[in-house]
Amino acid sequence: MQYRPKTNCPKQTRRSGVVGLVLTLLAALASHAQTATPIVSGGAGFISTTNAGVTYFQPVIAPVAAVPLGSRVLIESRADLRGFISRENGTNGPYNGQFFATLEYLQMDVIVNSRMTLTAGRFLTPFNLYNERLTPIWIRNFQDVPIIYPIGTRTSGSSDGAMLRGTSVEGRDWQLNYAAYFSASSKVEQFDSGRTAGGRVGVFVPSARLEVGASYQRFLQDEHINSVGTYMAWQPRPVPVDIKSEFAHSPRGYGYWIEAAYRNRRDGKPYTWVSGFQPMFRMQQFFRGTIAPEDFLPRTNTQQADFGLNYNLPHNVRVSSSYSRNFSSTGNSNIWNIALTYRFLFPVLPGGKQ
Amino acid sequence: MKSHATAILLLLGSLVCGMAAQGAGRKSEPSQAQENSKAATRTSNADATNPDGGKLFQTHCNRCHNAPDELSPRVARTVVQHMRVRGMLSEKDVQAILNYIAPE
Repeated sequence: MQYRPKTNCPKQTRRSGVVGLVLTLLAALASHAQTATPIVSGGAGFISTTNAGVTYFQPVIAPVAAVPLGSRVLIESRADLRGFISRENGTNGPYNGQFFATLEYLQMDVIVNSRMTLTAGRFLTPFNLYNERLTPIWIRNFQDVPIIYPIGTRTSGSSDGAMLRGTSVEGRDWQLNYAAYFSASSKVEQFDSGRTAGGRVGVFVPSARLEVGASYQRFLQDEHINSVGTYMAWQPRPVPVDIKSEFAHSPRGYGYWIEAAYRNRRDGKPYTWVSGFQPMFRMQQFFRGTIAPEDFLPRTNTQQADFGLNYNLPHNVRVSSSYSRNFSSTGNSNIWNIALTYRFLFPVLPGGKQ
Repeated sequence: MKSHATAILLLLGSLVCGMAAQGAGRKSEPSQAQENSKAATRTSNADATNPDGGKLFQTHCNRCHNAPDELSPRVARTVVQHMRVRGMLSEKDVQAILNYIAPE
């Protein structure tokens, strides 16, 4: 016999209540759509990877929903829906597929004043710059995340709690930005996070297009460990190069990555077939510390050189390719990536070109 | 009886939420217009105090991604609100970028 919860509320009454709620919210959103409208954005793609001879495919769609409530409140969310298709025995046998759905963030942002935004809910852990800014598949230059990515972003790259962030001080040619957060531990599926506290401080110099910053995280669960990091992003004006770099340290190990990419941002110039090319290079090193289960870091010291060539097509379509050589005491290997990504953006409610 | 009271409370709660959101929208209209006009004044007044939205877009947004193809003003407002939080943009930069990517 199937268990049914006891309730005093007739089904019809509950249904009318829910319908009323939905209709009222829709009416509110529709009226607010005159000034700003809910949107769905994000990236979709297909990634093919061959790592040490083992090939797998990943169809991905990562939608972002943003719902403004007035000019001071925004509810936003991103999910990652991903298939993983590989051969049963690695290099032979029939192909098998698995499906993974991950809620990366679901947060409410309240703009308290011009210097501070309060974020509550599930948000991307603000450690260095990669996790918050470069993870979307249509933004990242290389489809593989850096080796040191798990440092400072445990356990899932997302945090459940509250965060204060903003630009605290602004000079004539510099801005000081900050983020400080606390996260509770959660083992709930789709809301997995570690009990952590931390923050990030950065200085951005617009005239030089240079940003440098530092991050700190205290992991307060099971064992108390500190992770620290520094980052740099620089687009020098005289040469069309985009340089980004991170360093991260924790008792589990430390390392860095530095990436240089041709800056093919068109800056308002018309698209030409030549302007779509984007060669890239990334160097990474990781030095192992104490080994802990499930820290998602390599078991031994690792070096990796990544060479990539992207081609940007019109209408936000991009073809990416890269080759990486991985050097490790457990064996060297080649990693090949080919990907097709598309960035989409559309309003949820109709409204023409208003 | 209890079930009806629950349903009525639910409906009232949702109405209050809806009205609050509408109120926020209404309140934002004049302030949005004022801010836009201020931003427009700043733009027309000078580069001395600031903001060239195009330059700001290149400096802030192009650091990570290219501009989307075309945005309507109401979509652009949501996008810059999202990026204000994500990219830690200051209020004046947000206004200038908004005026640049979706001029009204």
